[in-house]
Order: sequence, then C-alpha cells, then structure tokens
Amino acid sequence: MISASTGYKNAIIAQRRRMRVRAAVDLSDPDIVYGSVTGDTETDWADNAQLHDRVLELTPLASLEPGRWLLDGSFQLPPDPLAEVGIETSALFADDKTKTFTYTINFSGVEFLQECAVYWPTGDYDGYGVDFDVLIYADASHQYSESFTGNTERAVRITGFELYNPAYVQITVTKWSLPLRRLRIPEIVIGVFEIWGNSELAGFNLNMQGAFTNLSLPYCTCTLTMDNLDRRFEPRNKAGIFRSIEDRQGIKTSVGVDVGGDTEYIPTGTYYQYNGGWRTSNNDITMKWDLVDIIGLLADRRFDVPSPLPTTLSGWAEALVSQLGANFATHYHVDPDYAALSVTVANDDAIADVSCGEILMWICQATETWPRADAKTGYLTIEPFWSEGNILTLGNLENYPTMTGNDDIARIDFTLSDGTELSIGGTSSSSSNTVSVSNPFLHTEAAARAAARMMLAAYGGNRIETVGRGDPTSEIGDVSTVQLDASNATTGRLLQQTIDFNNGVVRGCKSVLLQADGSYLYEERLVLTTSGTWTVPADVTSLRLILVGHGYDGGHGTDGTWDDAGTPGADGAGGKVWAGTVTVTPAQVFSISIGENTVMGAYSSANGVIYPRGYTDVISGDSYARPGVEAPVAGTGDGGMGGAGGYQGQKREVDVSEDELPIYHTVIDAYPTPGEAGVAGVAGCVVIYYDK
Amino acid sequence: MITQLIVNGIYLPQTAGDKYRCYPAELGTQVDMISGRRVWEIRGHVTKIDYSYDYLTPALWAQLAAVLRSGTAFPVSYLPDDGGGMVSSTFMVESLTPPVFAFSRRGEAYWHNIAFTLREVEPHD
Repeated sequence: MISASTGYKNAIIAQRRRMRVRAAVDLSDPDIVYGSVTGDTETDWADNAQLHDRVLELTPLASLEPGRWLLDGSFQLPPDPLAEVGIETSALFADDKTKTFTYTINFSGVEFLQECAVYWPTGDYDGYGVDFDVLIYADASHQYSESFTGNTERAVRITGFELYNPAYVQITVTKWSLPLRRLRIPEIVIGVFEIWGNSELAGFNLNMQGAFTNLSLPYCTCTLTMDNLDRRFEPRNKAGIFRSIEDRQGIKTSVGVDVGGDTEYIPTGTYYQYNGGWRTSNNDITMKWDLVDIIGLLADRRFDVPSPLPTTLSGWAEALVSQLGANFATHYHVDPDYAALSVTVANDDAIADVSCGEILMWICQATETWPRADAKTGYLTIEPFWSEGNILTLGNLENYPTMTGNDDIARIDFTLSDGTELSIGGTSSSSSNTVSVSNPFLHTEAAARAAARMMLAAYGGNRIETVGRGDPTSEIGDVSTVQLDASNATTGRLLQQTIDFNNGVVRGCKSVLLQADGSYLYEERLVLTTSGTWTVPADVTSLRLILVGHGYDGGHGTDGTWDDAGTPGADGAGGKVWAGTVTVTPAQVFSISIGENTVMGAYSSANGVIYPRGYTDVISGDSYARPGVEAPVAGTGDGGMGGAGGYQGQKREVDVSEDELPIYHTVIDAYPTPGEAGVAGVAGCVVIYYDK
Repeated sequence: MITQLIVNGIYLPQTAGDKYRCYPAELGTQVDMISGRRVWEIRGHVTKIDYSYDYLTPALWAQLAAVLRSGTAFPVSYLPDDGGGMVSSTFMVESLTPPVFAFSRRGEAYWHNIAFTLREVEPHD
C-alpha cells in the first residue's frame, strides 16, 4: 500500500473528487555520465550534483543578500545537508544587476542531443537570469550557441540544433533580474524534460499487474495519449521531440487528488520507453505512448553473465539492473532480511543464453520472494508478501464484485541444479494443469518445496473482479478487503488493477484480487465462536491461531439543535487480534473463552493489536475485526458503525399582523431530532489451522 | 450601454431583466455506485453564459443562427460576473431555444424569444 496522507485517502473516496495525473517526461540520454562542473567560486554548500536531479525548486537558504531573507521561518540556515542548492555563487551581482559568471557542465555518453534547458530559481526573492548565453559544444566544428536578452522566463529551453556526442554545456550570465543577488541555478537539463498534466494528457492509463507464483513475469504498463495537432510527436518533424526518444528513458508518473485548496500527488511508478512504444491514432491527431516498468525492460533482455557470479540475492538484483546500463546499477531494492540470502548457481553454463526475466523468476523462487517495480522509486524490488491493503466498499464500486474460479494445478515437476527430479502435488489432482520448473538456483529438495509452497499458494480458490473509482494508493501485492454487503466482506491479494484517466476523470478502474484457497498451507480450518474447550487432534504438533477480541460499539450521534445538525458518532474499532503459530502436543486440551478478550489457553487477543482497517486472513479470504460495520455478524469481532447525528431543527418567523405593526409568530417546520445510538460491536472468535 | 456578448465577432445587443447570466460551472461526470451512492468526478470548471432576447433584426439573427447552429466551437468575448472587463475564450452551444415567429415588417420575418446557453470548451481550474 502506497503511503498517503489521511486527507488524500479521504479525498479519494469522497463523494466529489477531482483527480489529476502527472507524467514527468525525461528524454535525456539514459547513458549520460555527468562530469565536473567548472566555473566561478561557489558557496561551500553549493551542490552541483543537484543540477541534474530533476528537482526544480531550491530550498530557501538564509543569506545576507539585502531584502532576501524573510524572517518568517521559511528559510533554513546553511549548510543544510537536505537542502536543494545546485549552483550558488559566492560573489553577488552588482547594484546594476550586472556581473559575468560562467559555468561549464561536462558530460559524456550522450549520442545525440537536440534540446537542453536551464531552470532558474522559482522564488521571487532569488531572481533569474535576464541576459545570458548558452553554448552546447561537441567539437570545434560542431557546436551551437544562443544568446538571451531581456529574458523573463523561469525555465528556458534551447532548441533548434542537432549535435552528436556533445561534451559540455556552458552558460554565461551577464545580467540578473535583481541587484545584489547570488547567481543560482537549480537545474540544467541535457535533453528534454517536461511535466505533462491534465491539460497535456488526453489519456493516462496504468495497468498494474504481478504474479505471485514466480512462474511468469507480468509487468506494469502505462499508456499516455497526447494531442498531436502540432505534429510535435511526428517522426518526420525535425523540430519535434521524436528523435530524442530512445529506449530506457524513464517517465515518472503520479496521480493526485484535490485536498482542500491544494493537490496532493502520490507516485504511481516509473515507466520506460521501449522498442515500438509510439503509435499514432485518429489520423495522427493523437499520439499514444506505451511504456513499461523496469521489469518490462528486463523481461526479455538477454542476461550477460557477469564475472564473478553474484552469490547473494541483492548481488543478483544488482547484476540484473546493471544489464540496463551503468546508470541503472543502483536501481534495485531487496528486503533487508533477504538481501544477504545465499543464491548461487554452479557455473556460467547453467545460466547461458537465458533472459533477465528467467533469472529474476529463478532467484525469487529460490528465496520465497516476488519481484515488482516500486511505485515511488521505480526500482526493481524483491521482497516477501505483506498483509495490508485498502478496503473496497460498495459505495466506491460501480458493479457488484464478481467471483470466478482461480486456476488449479495438478502438480509441479522440479528439476534441481544437479538434475534431480522432484514432483510436488498441486491444489487439485483432477486439474489438467501441470508446471515444469528447471531452476539452476534450486539445489535441494527443501528449497524446491519452499518454492512450491509459494507457487501453490496462488492456485485454487477464487478470483474477485471489481470495477470502481480507482484508488492509486493500492499496490499490487496488497491484501485488500472487498465489501459484499452491510455485514460481510472478503479479502484477496491484489493481482491486477488499472487506473484509467480518460476525458479528464478517473473512473471504471478494474481490479483483480486473488483469493487462493491455500490448501497446500493447512489442511484443516476451524472457527470457534463459543466458549468451551478444544482438544488438539492426534498427530498435530503445530497450530496457526487467530484470536479475535470483541469489537467496540459505535459512538452515539449527538443531538441536532436549532442551529446545527448533530455529529455522527465515531465508528467502533474492531477487536484486538493476535495471530501466530504455536507448538502443541497431540490431545492437549485448551480452554476457550470468548468475551471482551478471546482467550485460548495461554494465548489471548489482549496481547494483539487493533488493525485500523480490520484483519485479513489471507488463507481463507475472511476478514475480521473491521471498524464501523453497519450490521456486524457475531463471531467476527467487527466494531459497530457510529450512530447518525440528529437533524437540525427548522423554524422561521412569520409576520401575522394585518396592519403596520408587525406581530411575529414562530412557525416550526421540524423539531431537532436526537442523535442515534451506534451499532454494537460483536464478539470475536478463534480461528485454528492445522495439518492432519 | 455596455457590451455583454460578442459571438464569433457578432455584437449582440445588451439584454437586461435577468436575461444575461455568466457564471462558472463545474464540468464532470456523475457515476452511480452499486450501493446507490452517486458520486461526482470533477473534470474542471467552465464558464457558462445564458443569454436571451426578445427579438433581433432579421439580419443579425441570421448571422447568429449560422454560428449557433454550426455545430463547431467559436470565439466569444463576454462580460464575466466577477466585476472584471471583457474576457475571451472558445465556447460551444449547450442549448438553443428555437425562436418563434413574431411578426413581419416590410416583408421581413421577425422571430422572437431567442435564448441560448453557451459553454466554454476547455475546462480549467
């Protein structure tokens, strides 16, 4: 689940909402290597590496430049390690705003360049370049320069040239917009960098998907649709930007919603250009751009075997993203608990002529993890499953959820690294579906069984399909709860979702949740909702327990008055939930108490926690201890919905006199009504899983 | 007399008596959820103009009708209700009340009860 403010979450499900989409289009060469920045003396805290970090606004840093430092707490004192600075000169422009500063930004690895841009500070107190020259240099006979006089723009694009293998950009500023100011430059873009929003994008469609079996490698895609009336995206138009587009250029996307008077955005992934990504439609009136996430970039790419071979999960992750170029070498994240896991292969031959996608699936099979592209960073991320997610209510779904059977599997046939063959039974022996896995990273039967456990957990059971308003905070892999009616809900792991922005609004977003039956995980499941005793069956030595306490009552709504309507009562929280795996002895007798706390022997829900969105039992798909349920069912530990506030009374003064002296009578149209009691929370339960 | 409305270069006579209205309106889509809840997905804001007039000269009405019935967007300069001066933007016809025959004079037909609503094409904040 992508973190977002409470305001954002509330605005997403509000009755009226305004959504906005944003794509930061960065068409600089993905292989660019930034070199030194040379020029006039700068302040000690200037940071020239920030000239290409795509952060366009400077942190306000206090200085003694006259009339610049506002004493309103908005300025930080330098040096500030978190500050965005860029270029900042030690010397000041003169009283008449003139002085000459020259900086050269060196770089390499750029094959072709047809545009660059200089971003000036956005703060009025900082000013901007008025008179300046920009030189783009390839060699003595291939260079382009442009002079600007009387500029008033905060961002200046330099276009109209085509240079191969440029070496540096030099900028010489001779006049600033304010006197006695330092020269500041937050960003210099070697290429094309633009922010496209609702006005520029006719369509913005995210299709997010994942696979939890590690037997296939679906990836997320983004389709941007732009107006092309000016032929800017026309391949034959040399003045357009088409020639600047190449593989592996990243477009950061985000989806925002208006919260109060502002718009809050959350990241929804970085998507990359790949072969054949552009399409025209409607007779070139619009242009469609299909992009893929980092897994899509890797999936079919041939894996060049590194030397020496990596030996850990994080080492393999680094080796994979490095296939995309040196600038991608750090674009990965592995869960810290899994990063150092030993992941080895016998020799180079075992992984010769395979794709990056195959390597990625194999190493995840060997470590009980799964791969995804992180929404915030765009990085390849390898981690285990998590158990949190959003709630999909019927008030935000356009159709009733539909449930279809999920695929079963008869068996999985493994071939281990030493050639050993192993067959593991699936979810249904009658299924015609079998899978063969030949993974050179699996060396033992135990490792194969662990891989199979994860694969089988995604087979059998159901798929839940929904169409709703769309929630960008949901992430593939989330365990989401789907409301079925006033009392019931079910859960599943989010397998696929779309965020569809068309005609200026987000709607009709589809989700698919996987509710695998997990039959491989535990053979038996019991739900106890009354007090008493329970005896551990013979041969059972381990139990998976979920103890759900009593849900809390919804608060009483306040009474309405003549002046105001009453306030609804607060929703009651779900009961505390404790879950864990415990060791037992066969025939052991447990006392069960279902009360405020649910107690089973030495284990109690009192030692658990309250889950703000309820607790999801991924194995069964049931949800427990949800807050604010309209009609909670006993045995779920759900909290009750808060009572409605009373209605405001309505009265008015009416002049009933028949002469000039008014006589007022109060006419009461409606009396204020009392607030309503909240719904009572209900008792919890004990859920027991075990293998026979 | 001030100018209230210029439609595609056609100056329309000032109209009073609650017959000219210019106001911002939300542009969006209503969607019914399965629970019965109706939600509103806001796309942006557009300016709307309501204008009506008793009768125009036959020549003026002929020009105006050609624009309003063209089915395409056209430039409009209008007097906003926020106290500012004339503003220009591109509008389309949202509704058009067909005029009814009023009388004839010197062999020309006069039509009256002309009324239409214009809506700005591009939404904005």
